[in-house]
Amino acid sequence: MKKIKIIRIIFSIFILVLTLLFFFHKNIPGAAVHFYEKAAQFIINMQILPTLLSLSIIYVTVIIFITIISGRVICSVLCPLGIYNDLISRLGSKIRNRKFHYIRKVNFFKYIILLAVIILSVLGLSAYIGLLEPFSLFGKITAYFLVPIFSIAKNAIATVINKISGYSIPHEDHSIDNLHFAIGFIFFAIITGLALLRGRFFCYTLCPSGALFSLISKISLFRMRIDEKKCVSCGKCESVCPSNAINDNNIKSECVLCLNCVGTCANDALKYKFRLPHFNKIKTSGNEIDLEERKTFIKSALIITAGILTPRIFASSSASKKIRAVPPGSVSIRNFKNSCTGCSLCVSKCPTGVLSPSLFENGIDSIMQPFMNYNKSYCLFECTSCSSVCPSGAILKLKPKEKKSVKIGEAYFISDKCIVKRENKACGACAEICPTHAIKMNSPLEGHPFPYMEAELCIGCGACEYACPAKPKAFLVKPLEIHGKAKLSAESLFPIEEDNSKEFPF
Amino acid sequence: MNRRDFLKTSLRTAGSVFISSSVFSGKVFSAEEANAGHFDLAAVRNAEPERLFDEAIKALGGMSRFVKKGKTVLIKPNIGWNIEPQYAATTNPNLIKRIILHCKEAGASKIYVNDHPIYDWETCYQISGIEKAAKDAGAIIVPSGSENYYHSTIIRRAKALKEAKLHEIFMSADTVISVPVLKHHFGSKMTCGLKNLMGTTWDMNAFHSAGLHESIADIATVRKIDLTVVDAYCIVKRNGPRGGDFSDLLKMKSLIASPDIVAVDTAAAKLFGINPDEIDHIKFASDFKLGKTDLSKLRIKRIVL
Repeated sequence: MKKIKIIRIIFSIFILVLTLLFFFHKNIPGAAVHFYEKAAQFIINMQILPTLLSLSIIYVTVIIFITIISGRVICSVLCPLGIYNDLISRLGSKIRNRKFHYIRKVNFFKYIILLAVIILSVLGLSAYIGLLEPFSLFGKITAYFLVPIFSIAKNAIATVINKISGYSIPHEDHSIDNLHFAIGFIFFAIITGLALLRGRFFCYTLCPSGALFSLISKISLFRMRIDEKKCVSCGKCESVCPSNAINDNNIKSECVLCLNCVGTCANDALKYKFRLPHFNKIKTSGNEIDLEERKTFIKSALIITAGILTPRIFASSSASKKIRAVPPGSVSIRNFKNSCTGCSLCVSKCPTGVLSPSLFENGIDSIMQPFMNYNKSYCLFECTSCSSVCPSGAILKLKPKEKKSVKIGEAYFISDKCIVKRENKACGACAEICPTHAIKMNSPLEGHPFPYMEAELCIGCGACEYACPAKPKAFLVKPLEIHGKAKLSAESLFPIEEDNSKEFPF
Repeated sequence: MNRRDFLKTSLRTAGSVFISSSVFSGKVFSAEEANAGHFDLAAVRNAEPERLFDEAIKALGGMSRFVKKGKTVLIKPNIGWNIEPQYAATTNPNLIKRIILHCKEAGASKIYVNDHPIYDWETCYQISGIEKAAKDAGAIIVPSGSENYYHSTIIRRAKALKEAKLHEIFMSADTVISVPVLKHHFGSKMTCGLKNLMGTTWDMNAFHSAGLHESIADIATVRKIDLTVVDAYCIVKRNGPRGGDFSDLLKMKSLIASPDIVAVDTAAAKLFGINPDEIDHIKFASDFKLGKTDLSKLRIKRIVL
C-alpha cells in the first residue's frame, strides 16, 4: 500500500503540473496539438460539474462509473484544486506538528452548497457555481494570479538567458488587469490558508463536486475500510486524515483515498477493499444527521435559495444595460451565461488577450465570466482556442472553417469620428486589419480614401475597433444576443496576372 | 629630408604617376569600370527571387559593401500578416533565405530577422514561411510579442511622431537590411521601403493618429538603413496591404535594391505604376534629405534576365 501511496502522490503532482502548464501556454492558432495538451484537456474534461453543465454524457458516465467502482479517486488524482490542497496540507503538517481531529457537524454543509448549485444551474446562474466549483476556482486562481506571475518570472529568466544565447526564449506579456490579479491573489490566499490549517477543509465542507462524489461513493465497490478485528482505536489514522473522514473507527464518504492513513496504522487495519454496497448501512449513516442538523439544513437551504433568486431578479431588471460580446461558439449570450462557470481557461489560452474576465460590468448574473474586451484587443480570425478548451459547454467546439463565418456582433461606422473625415489624414487601419473584407475603402478623385462597410460580411471580431486610431473610436462592435452567420467573401478563382515586360519604367 | 618627408614625397609621386598613367590609358575613369562596384540602385527582372537578388547585389558591389566582417545584421522583412507566402502579402521567404546566406558569406557575426506583425507574431512568422526560411539559413528569429523589447526613443527630427517605442534589435544592429514586399495600401497608397519601417515600432496605431505619411518619414530618420531590397516578384496590385486574393496579384518577377531608401521607393512606385510625387511619405523623406527622388542623378544598373 505504501508504494501505491507514493505512486499516487507522484501521479497527482504530475497531473497538477500538467494542468498548470496547460494554463501557462497561450494557444498559437495553427500549431500542432501536443500530446501533453490532449492529456491536460482530458483532465479538464473529467471535472464533474463543468462536464455536467456541458451535458457531455460520455465523460459524465465515465466519471460516475469510476466513482462507483473505486470511490473518490478523481478527488485525489484528477482534481487540481484537491491536489493543491493535499500538497499545502502536507506542508502544513511538516511546518508545525499539526494533527487533525474529526470535526462534527461540518461535513453536511457541502450538501447545502450542492443544493444551491442545482438551483443555480436551473436558474442559469452558472457564474455563481464557479465561485465554489473546484475547477473554476482553481482556474480563477491560475488565470488571474499564477499566469501573470509565471509570465513575469519567465520574462525575467528569459532576459538573463537571452543575454548569453540571443533570443532563444521569447518574452510574453500577460493580459490580466490589476483588479483581477488581486482577486486571484485573495482566492489563492484563502485556499492556501485553509489547506495549511485544516487540510482538505474546502473539500469536505464547501465543495459541491465533493458533495456529489460523496453521495455516489456511498455505494462504491472499492473503499477504504477499517478491519474492526484489528483496530485498537488508537486514533492515529484520524490524526493524519486531512479530509475529516475518519471517526469512531469508521471511514466516511468524505474519504478521497489520499492514503495518508495507510502507513500510520500499526496493526495494518486499514485496507482498500472490495465489498458490495450495504444499503442498510447507508440508511443508518443517514440517520447520523440529527434533527437539529436537519433543521439547519432546511433553514440554510431556504436562505440560499432566496440569496440566489435576488441576483436573478436584479439581472432581469438590468437586462436593458449595455451587453458585451461573447466568444464565437457560445451560440447566444444566454447560453454562455447559463453554462460558463468562469474557470478562465479560455482567458489564459486566448492568444490576443481579447477574452478578459469581468466583474459586475456585464450584469450581476455574469460575475467573473469572461467577455470579448474590444478595448484591449480583438478576436483572431483563424483562432478557435477558446472553443476547443471550454469544459462547460459555454463555448461549443468550432472547426476553424466554421468559425470564420460565425457572427458574434456587427461593427458600425460612425463616419463623423473617422480621422480621414475629421482631420483629413490618410488612414485605412480598419480596412487593412479587417479579416473578412467587410470594410472597404473607396477611391475618391480628391482627398484620402474613405472606409465603408459591407455589413453582411462582418463577423464582429472587433479588429476594426481595436485598430481605429480615432478617439473616440469611429468603429464600434454591436454584440449580437444570438450569434448569426456571416456571408463569406467570395474568393475569385482568377489566375495570377503576369507582367512580362522587358524594361523598367525608370 | 627626414623620413616623414621622404614618405610623403614618394607617395605623392607614386600617386601622380599612377593617375597620369591611368588617364592616358583611359582605364580608371572609364564609366563602366568605375561604376562596376558602386551602382546606386539595381533593378533586376525576369528570374526567380534568389537569382534576382544575386544579380542585384553583384551590381551594387557585393554584400561586403554593406555587411562588415564580425558585425551584426538585422534583416527586416514584411511579416505583417498570417497569410501563406503565395498570396504575396509578406516578403518572399526564399529571398530572405538568400539574403541571409549572402550576409553569412560576407562574414556577419549574427543575423537577426524581426518584424512586428499586425497579428499574433508567432502565427505570422510561421505561416509566412519566414521563420523556417530564416532558421534553415542560420539566422536568429527575434520575437516581437512583448512590449519589453521596445524602448521609448525620442525622434529628434520628427515632424509628427516625436516619440516611438522602437525594437531594441533595430537600434542595436550594426547593419539594417530592409526587405519590403511591394504592395498597394489603402492608407499610404503604396507600401515599400519606408512604410516597412513601421514594423520596427510597438504602437502602430500612433502612426495613424499622428499622421500616417509624416510618421513614416519620421521613423526613417531614426537610423541609417544600409540596404533596402524590394521584393517585387509578385505584388499586391489592389485591395492591399492584406490581399489574400489571387486576382489582386501581379507577377512582375522583379527586384529593386539600393542603399538609398528614398530612391528605392521612388523606383518601386514607378514600377508599381503610381506617380511617386503623389506619395506623401516619399516627399517627406526626401525633405529630410534621406535620399534622392530624382532617379536621373543615380547610377542605375538595369538587368533583364
